Amino acid sequence: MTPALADPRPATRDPRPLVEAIGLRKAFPIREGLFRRRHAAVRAVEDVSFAIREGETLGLVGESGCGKTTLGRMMVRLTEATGGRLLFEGEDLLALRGEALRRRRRNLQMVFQDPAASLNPRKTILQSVGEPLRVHRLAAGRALEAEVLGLLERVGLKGEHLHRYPHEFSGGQRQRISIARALSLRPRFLVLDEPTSALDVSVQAQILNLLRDLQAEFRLTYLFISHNLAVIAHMSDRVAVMYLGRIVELAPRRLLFAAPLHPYTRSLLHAIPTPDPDHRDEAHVLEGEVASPLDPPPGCRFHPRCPLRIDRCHQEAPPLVEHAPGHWAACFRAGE
Amino acid sequence: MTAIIPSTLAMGGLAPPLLQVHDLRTHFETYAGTVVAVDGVSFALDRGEILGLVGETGCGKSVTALSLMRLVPDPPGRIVGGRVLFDGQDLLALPERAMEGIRGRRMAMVYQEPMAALNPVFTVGDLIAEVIVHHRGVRRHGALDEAAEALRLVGMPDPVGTLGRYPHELSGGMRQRAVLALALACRPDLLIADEPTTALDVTIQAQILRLIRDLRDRLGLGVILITHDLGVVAQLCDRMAVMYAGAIAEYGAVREIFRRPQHPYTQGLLAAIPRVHDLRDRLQAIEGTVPNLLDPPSGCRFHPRCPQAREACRRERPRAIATAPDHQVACVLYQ
Repeated sequence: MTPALADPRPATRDPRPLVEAIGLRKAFPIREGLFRRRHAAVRAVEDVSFAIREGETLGLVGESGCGKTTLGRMMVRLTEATGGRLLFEGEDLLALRGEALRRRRRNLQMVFQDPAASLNPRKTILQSVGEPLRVHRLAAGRALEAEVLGLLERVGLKGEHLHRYPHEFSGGQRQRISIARALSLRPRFLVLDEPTSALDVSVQAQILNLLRDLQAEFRLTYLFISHNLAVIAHMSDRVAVMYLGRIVELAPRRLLFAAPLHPYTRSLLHAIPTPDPDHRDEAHVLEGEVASPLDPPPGCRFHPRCPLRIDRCHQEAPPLVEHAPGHWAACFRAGE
Repeated sequence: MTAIIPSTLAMGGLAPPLLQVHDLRTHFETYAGTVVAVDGVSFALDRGEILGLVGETGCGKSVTALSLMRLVPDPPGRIVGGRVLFDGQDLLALPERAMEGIRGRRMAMVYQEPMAALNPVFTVGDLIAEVIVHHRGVRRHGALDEAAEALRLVGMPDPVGTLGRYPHELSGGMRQRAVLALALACRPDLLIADEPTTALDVTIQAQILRLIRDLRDRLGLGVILITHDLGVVAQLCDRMAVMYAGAIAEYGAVREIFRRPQHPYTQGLLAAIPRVHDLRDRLQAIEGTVPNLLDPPSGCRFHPRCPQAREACRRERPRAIATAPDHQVACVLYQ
């Protein structure tokens, strides 16, 4: 295979995706010593490109430290990218400032893993959910209360909850509140960062169902981040797999799970403890651990753990290449 | 749930089980009232068996484990009833001094967060050697050799070099291996592992689960694995006990329960897990939330969330009924 450089937007041929990341990167400087000199950088996200169509869910999966949360935060400009472009309806959000950015940003919201940490314990639910509406001067007084009530009811809560505080709710209810707040500005794009990872499975199922209903009702576009492949498989139309700051595979859900091309994706799939005692799989346990993003291995970042590595993998980083329609992988031996 | 018959006896097994728990009850006294955390739990564990204790947050699985080790903080916690027969000896009747000789030496526990068990100011070698010196009276030099052996046992790369390293120098997966080495240093008969892989990435989790099975095979350990993850139970355990609100709802062989789950709670849990190759649009959620154990529901504790609840469920605590040779369920549907 020729290492022809990939189209920087490998995700779709849709002429107008809603959201597009083009060569996004983020390096966190490490400053040490008396003068806080920058002497190294953690390259948390390196040259990541994808696009998401309106109404679609792109799943983003990877293990801790792979950069998925940093990427998610960059998508809503909570973390500033150090390079690349971020397009929303074709407009580069990274070039916007001030009022123009503020107005655009309403369309992009984020839901976090831990609702206990993302809700102010001293504010009532009315205050927390209504805050974005107040800040953007979209509603006040009675109208604000009516709007918040509508949002709460939509996520499965009641009017009696308006004047309560976060600690009075269960984890699942708190996540419903966070979702209501994220929806208050009628966004079109939501980044969901491990939204059910802190919840029990019976409650997780309720929240996942709710997110699907809301997506259909409001024609929302999701970037769904999780370390849990089964949750990703359940929620996503397409899936991107990250390893140490890079996307290593990107494909429609069915293709990714039925015919994974990258050896890392395959190892991840084998590592999930399948809830079926008649299918026990120990033969494919991946050895070793993820390298530090401070000092990533040269060439392909997965090569030290890869069962298929060849000499070339030590020197050269494989580009993301389209192997089948819509199925992209960054591996010299993809599919072998 | 009072009368689950320990499985080995029920099946006419020859050797007595390593551990038999009868009607264990643990309460916590709080300002708001008594929390009934463990409410009549019974099960048995053989040598070389891995039992999964599975359930959601607050179901009492961790308090059950702490009760077996007699590590429930008192006050506010108190074991108010039951028997824990370990090799035929009732641990709940032992004086604390005698219990100290058993804990750490014949039964050991590992936790979700390895740093909780690793004092950061000591090297891994010092930590393991201390346990060996304390319990077995071995001299320090010999203890260090044994510590290296324990690290080798758990597949630590460079076991001798690791002796001189501090816990913070190890990765999450290696810390969990160090904790296992610490737990197994005195070659206990029983290992209790409380969510040992929950904080780990899936590829590392797979390594640790394989290690636990391998240790069971090589040492003939009895293992109680506490987890909220039914996938982990399916992959690793021989038997399982599904807990809900302080009691065991269903108990038996893992294959049997996964094939024919009988308690509506177990059925609900299995239907609620997303699966990779299952393309349903909606998951079957269990409505409502886990009950408050300060004021648990009457009768069967699951009845407010149970799709099949009837009038009797409100009034009576269901007894455990054997529905197959290695399968017991506490639900009126089967009575």
